[in-house]
Amino acid sequence: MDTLALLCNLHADGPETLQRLRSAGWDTLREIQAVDVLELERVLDADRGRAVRFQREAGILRDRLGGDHEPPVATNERESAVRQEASVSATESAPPARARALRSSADASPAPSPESGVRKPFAAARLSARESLPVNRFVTTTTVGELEDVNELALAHDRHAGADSELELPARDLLIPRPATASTPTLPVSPEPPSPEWQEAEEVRSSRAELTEIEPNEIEPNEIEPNVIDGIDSEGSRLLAEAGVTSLAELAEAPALELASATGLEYTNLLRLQFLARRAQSSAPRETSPKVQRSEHKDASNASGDVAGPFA
Amino acid sequence: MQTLALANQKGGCGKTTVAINLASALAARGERVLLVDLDPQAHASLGLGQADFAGSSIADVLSREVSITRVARKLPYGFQLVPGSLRVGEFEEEAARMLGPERVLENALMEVEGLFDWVILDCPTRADGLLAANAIRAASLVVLVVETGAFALQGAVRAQQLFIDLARECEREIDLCVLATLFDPTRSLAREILIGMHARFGDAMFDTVIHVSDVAREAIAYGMPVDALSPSALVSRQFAALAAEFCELDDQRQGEGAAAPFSWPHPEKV
Repeated sequence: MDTLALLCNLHADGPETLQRLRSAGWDTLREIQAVDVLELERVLDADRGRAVRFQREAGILRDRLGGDHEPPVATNERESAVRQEASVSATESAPPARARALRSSADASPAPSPESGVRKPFAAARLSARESLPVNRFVTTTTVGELEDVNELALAHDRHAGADSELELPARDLLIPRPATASTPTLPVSPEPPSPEWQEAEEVRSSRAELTEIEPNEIEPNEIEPNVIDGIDSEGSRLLAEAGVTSLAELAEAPALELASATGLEYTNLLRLQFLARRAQSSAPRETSPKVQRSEHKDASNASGDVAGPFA
Repeated sequence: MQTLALANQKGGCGKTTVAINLASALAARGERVLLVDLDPQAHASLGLGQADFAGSSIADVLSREVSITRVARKLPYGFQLVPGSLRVGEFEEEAARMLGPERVLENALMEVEGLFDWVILDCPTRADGLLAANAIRAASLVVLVVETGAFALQGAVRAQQLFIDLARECEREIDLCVLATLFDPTRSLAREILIGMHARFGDAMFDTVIHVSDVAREAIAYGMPVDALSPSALVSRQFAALAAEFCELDDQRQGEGAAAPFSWPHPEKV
């Protein structure tokens, strides 16, 4: 399947549109982008809006795949390409929605600081929420060769899962909640004073720490707080920190496949953690009711073009 | 004669639907097609209204009791069917008393060489059994049918590895193409998975993607191919396009000396 066929399957009816385009002499996404909209409208036998959208989707798909005939590019290359494109096309008016998200996120992403002393292999992966969909990351942040290692990843996970069962995880870290610290600024911090239950739990925790001579503050500030989202315990937090992921924002934006390989966490579990991290980041103020949040989310997804293709 | 094995160890990915409708679409192009139902559940036979399990079936062919030409039934849709049977499941036990049990189907299909242009093998879900080994050994092309749903990529990669292992055991080189099915363009996850499949399999994928379709489900329930029920339906046109791709592929392979669109390394080199 070439990229033009992929475009036709994604945003049109598939073979018939593909045949129309090929009959017109267009074989690549680049040609679809370059063609006059009126001509495309005529070939597709569609109205202006559909033709424009089809052309826009061709550009977006081409951006994502790194060109018509190029393999998916690695994250850093891709980001530099996006940055370059953003600087070149800064004067363009009304860029496509998804491309705009890419560009804006690329512009907004701070450069990783080499002085931090913390290894951050995924800090450069500043992709938009759209790009951070699991399979998007699968495509845009890995090469085909790396994809060969899915089975090895699964085996690594199996080994890791086996090792987990033999580990004695510090139960107090799992059971006792901790307040959010400055290292997790993306989480809503409750202004309310600690509850009596919390104070009691804190006392128990500190007394146990004294008894067992364990440092009460063994969690380094450069780690995601354990239990800040469901599924990240102290061990998971440590593994993520070793892989250079020290905040929910970095967790949300890191390429899952590479992160799974680096940490030994299960790929699918990592996708879930990333989803929870994104949700925690984008959580609305508490006074907003969940019902309103859902409707807003639906509107937002519709506004971003998350609907059926024009010819589907 | 090209022998296609429609396979995937995952159930519910559309193998049988593709087998029935591809056979019909190829027949509509004037090709001579034989559909072999290797599934012990005999869903292809059921989906074509051939639920008469009392007659001869592929189980009798595999047990070397009957010639495959005597079992094949002419259907009103322009192709022939070797019906499946629940007794196919017993083949694994019977095979213990056979010499070369993994070659039974290959030998049986030699009888119809020249009688058909296409033989389509609807493989069972279990991909590590003797039935699958027979199909792989008999096939000139393995079509990996992949649903565009959750875990599709991982499942497809594992299936690929499984077939590599099978090919190694069969001591033969096989070619693989990937067909994406049950694609719902209104769901963003399906679109992302299709992009992921394209990144993973590239030119080994067919240009045609089979969409999820209520008409196709209805056609199976009515016991007929979808182009017999609704020729103008989108999914009917997609199967027609898929059949055209297969014919084009066949021409290409014959013209280029069986150059496959996507060749696995020879098992010895794996």
